[in-house]
Amino acid sequence: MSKSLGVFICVCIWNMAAWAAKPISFAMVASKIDTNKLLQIVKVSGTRYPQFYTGSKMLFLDSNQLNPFQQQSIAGVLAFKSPVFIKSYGPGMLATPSFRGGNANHTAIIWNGFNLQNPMNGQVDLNHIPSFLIDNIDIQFGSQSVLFGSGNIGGTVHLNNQINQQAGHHVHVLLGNGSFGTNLIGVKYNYGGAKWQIAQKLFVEHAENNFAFKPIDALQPNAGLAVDPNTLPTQYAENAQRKNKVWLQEFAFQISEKQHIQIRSWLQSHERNIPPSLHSVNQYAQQKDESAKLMFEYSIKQKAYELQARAAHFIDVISFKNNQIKESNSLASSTTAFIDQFYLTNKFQWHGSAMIQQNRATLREANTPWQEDKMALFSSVKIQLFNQRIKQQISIRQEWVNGTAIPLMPAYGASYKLSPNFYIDGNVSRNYRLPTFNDLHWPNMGNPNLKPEFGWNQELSIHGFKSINFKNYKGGYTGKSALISGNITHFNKHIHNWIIWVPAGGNLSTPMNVYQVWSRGFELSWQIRLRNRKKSEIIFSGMHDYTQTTNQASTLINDASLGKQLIYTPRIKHQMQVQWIKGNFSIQYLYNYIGTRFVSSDHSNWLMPFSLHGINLSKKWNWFSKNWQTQILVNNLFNTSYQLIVNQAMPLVNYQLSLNFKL
Amino acid sequence: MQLVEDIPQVPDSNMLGILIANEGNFQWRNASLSFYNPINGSVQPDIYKAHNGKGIGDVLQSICSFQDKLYLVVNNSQKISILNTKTWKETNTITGFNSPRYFLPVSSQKAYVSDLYENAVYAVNLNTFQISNKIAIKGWTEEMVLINNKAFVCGVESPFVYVINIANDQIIDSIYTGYGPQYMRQDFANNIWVLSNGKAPILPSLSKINLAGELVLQLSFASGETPRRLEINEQKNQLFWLNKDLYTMNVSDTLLPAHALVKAGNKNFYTLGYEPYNKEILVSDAKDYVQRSEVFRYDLSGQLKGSFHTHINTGNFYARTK
Repeated sequence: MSKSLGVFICVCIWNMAAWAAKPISFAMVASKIDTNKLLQIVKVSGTRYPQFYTGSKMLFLDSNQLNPFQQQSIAGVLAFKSPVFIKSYGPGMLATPSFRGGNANHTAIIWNGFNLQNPMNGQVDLNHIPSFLIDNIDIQFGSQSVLFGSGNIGGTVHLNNQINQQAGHHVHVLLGNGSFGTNLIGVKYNYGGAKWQIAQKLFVEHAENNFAFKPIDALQPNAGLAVDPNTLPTQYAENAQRKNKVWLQEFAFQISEKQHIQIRSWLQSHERNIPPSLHSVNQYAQQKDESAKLMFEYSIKQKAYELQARAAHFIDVISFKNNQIKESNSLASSTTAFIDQFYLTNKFQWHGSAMIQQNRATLREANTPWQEDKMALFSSVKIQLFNQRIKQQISIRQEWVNGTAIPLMPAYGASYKLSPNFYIDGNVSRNYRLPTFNDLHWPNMGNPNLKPEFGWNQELSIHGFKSINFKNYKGGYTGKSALISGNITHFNKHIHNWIIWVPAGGNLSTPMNVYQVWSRGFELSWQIRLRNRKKSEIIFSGMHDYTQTTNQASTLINDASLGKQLIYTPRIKHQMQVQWIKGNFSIQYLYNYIGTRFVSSDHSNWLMPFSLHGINLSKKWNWFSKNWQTQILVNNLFNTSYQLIVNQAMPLVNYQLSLNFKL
Repeated sequence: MQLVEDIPQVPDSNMLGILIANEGNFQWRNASLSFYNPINGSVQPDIYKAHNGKGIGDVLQSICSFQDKLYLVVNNSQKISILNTKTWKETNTITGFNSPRYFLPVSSQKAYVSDLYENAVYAVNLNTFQISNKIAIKGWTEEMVLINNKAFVCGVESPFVYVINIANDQIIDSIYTGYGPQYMRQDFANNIWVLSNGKAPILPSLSKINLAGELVLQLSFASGETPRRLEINEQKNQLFWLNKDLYTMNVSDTLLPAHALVKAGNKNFYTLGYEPYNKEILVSDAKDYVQRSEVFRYDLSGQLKGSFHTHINTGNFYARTK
C-alpha cells in the first residue's frame, strides 16, 4: 500500500506541477485544529421548507454516499445513486436530468433554497457542478410547484451546503487523477467559532478529455447493418478539453441567540471545447460558462415562530463559437427575495411565504433585453395527530407573472404510520411550468403567445423497514444483524400544453403548445444491510423504475406520436449495488441498466438498452495523526459501447483515482 | 407498436419519378433518400441505404440529377454524394465544403455549390470531382439558376442576387431584390422569381427580375409573414409557395393572391414540390420534427388527392423526368 501511495502522490505532484504552468491559481489554506477548546459554536439551519414535504417521496444522499463520487459532477452522482435519467452529450458535456418522463426544464435544481434554472432555457447543466462542493443532496420526486413555483413538474434536486459545525479549523484536501488526462484538486477550509462559521471551498479541474470510444452506429433500426463494436477501431475524442474552476464561500454569523445571518457566494468558470458528433466534421466548437451567485439569509426565532428573509442574485454568461459562426453571447440574471414565516410545533405547523423575482436576459443577436417579473404568495398548514401517526398538509400558491395571475396551485399531502415500521405517503398537487425566455422571445422563432404547461400529479408510496438480530441455536444473540428497508411508489401525472418546437419556415422553428402528456409508473427501491457485529457489513441495494410517458393528444394532424412513449424517456431503469465494508476498507460494485429510448416520436428510430458496471475501492487510514483516504472508481468496467444521445460518443472503460486528507 | 420500418424495395433502373430528400435530424446522421412513384403511388423509403449498405449522412439538403448521375448535397456531412442512376450505387463523393446547400451544373465540366457559412460559392470539376475554385460572396448563399451562361445566386444575408459569369467564375452583377433572397425559380420567359425573407422592418417579398437583370416587380408580404419555398409548374407559368398555408399565382399576375390555395390548419407545412406526372403539388408536413413526415398531394385546384409517409423532415422534392 505504501508503495502504491507513493506512486499516487508522485502522480499528483507531477500533475500539480503541470498545472503551475496554467493560469489557474489557488492557495493552500493553513490550518490548526484547536482540539482543546470546547466552543459552543453557532448552529444555523437553512430553510424550513423540508418540514412541508409531507407525502412526497424523498431520496437523501448524505456525504457518505457522495464520497465515492467526489471527483464527479452532480450528473455522475445522480446517474449512479438515483433513478433520475441523465441525458448526457459525453464526459463533461451538457448533462440534464429527466424525472418521471419529464424533460430537462421540468426538473428544478435548488441550491440552498434558490432555483438555479437558467431563465433563458429553463435548464441546469449538471456537469458544471462538482459534487465535492455539495454536502448533501435531497431528491424530491414529483411536483412541488406550491413551494418552488415554475419548473419542477418532474421533480426537484436540492443541493445543500451545511457549514461544518465542528469547532476550530478544518481542512479537507482532495487530489484526483483520472483517465483521459483528468486532474483535479479540491480544498475545503472550515472554521467554527462562537459567533462565526466560515467555509471556503475551491475546486479546479482540468481534463484533456480525449476519451476512447468505438464509432458505433447506434441509431436503430440500422437495416441489418449491426456491427460488433469490438471489431471497430478505437477512436479518441477530439476537441473535448475542459477546465472547471469554482470558488464557493459560506459565512454564518450569530447576531444573538435568536438571530442568524448566512451569506454564500459561488463563482465559477467552466471552459470546454465541444467535440463533433460521431462521423461529423470537427467544427472546433467552444463554450464558456461563467456564473456568479450570491445569497443572503437572515433568520430570527422566537419559540415556535421563525422569520426568514432571504435574497439571491444569480448571473450566468454563456459564450459559444465554432469555425462556422461568429461568437454568440447570452447573459441571464435572476434576482429573488423571500420572506418566510414559520410556526412549528409538534402538532401544528404553518408557513406563510412571499416571493418577488426579476429575471432578465440579453442575447447578442437580439435588440432588447428580455425581462420577467414574478410575485408569489404561498402557504402551507400541516397537522400532526395521534402522536404524529397521521400527518396532513394542505398548501396553496398564487403567483403573478408580469402582473398576470397564474391559476391557483393547490396541493394536499398526507402520511400515515401504519405500524412502527411501515408508512404510507401520498400527495396530490397541481403544477405548472412557464415558457422560458427562449420559448417566448428567441429572435425570429420565439412564440409570445405560448401558454404555460399545467397539470396534476398524484403519487402514493408505501415504505418500511425491518431489523433482525440473529440468534444462535441457544437463543443468544450472535451479534449479527440485518436491516431491510424498501419503498414502492406509484405516480400518475397529466401535463397539458406541453411545449415542443415545430417547423416555422425556412430554417426556423418555433415552440408551440402541442402535446398532452400522461406519465405513470412504479418505482421500487430496497436495501438489505447485513452486519457482523461491528467488524464488517455488506449492503445490497437496488432501484427499479417503470415509467410510461405517452402523448395523449396533439394539435398536429395525423400525429403518429399519439399514445407512444416520449422520446429519450426510457421505460425501464435498474440500478443495483453491493458494498462490503470491513474496518476502513470498502469495495462497492455498481450496476446500471437503461432501457430502450425512442428517439423518433413515431418510434421509427430508437437506441438499444445498455448496461454499465463499475467498481469502487476505498481505504481509510491514519498517517501522522491525520485522516487519509484513497479511492479508485472504475467506470464502464466491461467496455460497453453505448450512446445516451444519438451519435454522441460515450467513453469506454475509465478510472478515477483520488486521495483525500483531512487536517 | 411498429418497431421496424418497411423494408426498402429495389427500384427499377432509370427510375423516373419524385426523389425526396429527408433531412433527418441535425447530427443524427439519419438523413434518407425516398422515391415516390407517381404512376402507381408506391413509396420506397430509403433507396440509398438499400443500395449502399449505409446511411447517406447528416442532413440531406438537396438533390440534383445531371447526365447519368444523381448529386446528393449532404449539408452537415460537408459532402456531395454521387450516385449512378442505373445502379443507385455511390460512385464518388466530393468533399471539402463547409456547409453545402445546393448544386447547380453550369456545364458538362463544372457545377456550382452554394454554402451556408463559407462566404463563397464553390466551383466543382465534374471530371475530377474536386473543388476547383471558390467565388467569394459575403454570407450565406442559397438557391441558384442558370440562364444564358450566367448563374444567379441568392445572397441570403444581403438584399442581392449575385450574377456569375460561368466562363470565368467572376461576379458580374448584383441585382437588388429586397433583403434575404433565398428561393428562386425561372419562368417560361426567362424571368427569375425570387422569394426573399426580409429582415424587420424590411418586409419579405416576391420579386421578378427580367433577362436584363432589372427588378421589374416586387410584391411585399405583410409584417410577420414568413413566406418560403418557391416552386413552379412544368409549363413554368404558375408559382407555388408556402406562407404557413399553400399559395399560388400565375406569373402574369401583378398582385399577391388574397387567399390561400390550401389552408394548413393543424398541419405544419415544411416544404413543397411540383409533381409533373399527375400535375399535383406535394407538400410535406414535418409534424414535430422527430417523426416521419407526411406528404400531402393536392391538385391544382387545391383538392387533397391523398398522402403518403416518408422519413424524418422531408425538406426537398426533385422531379426526375428524364
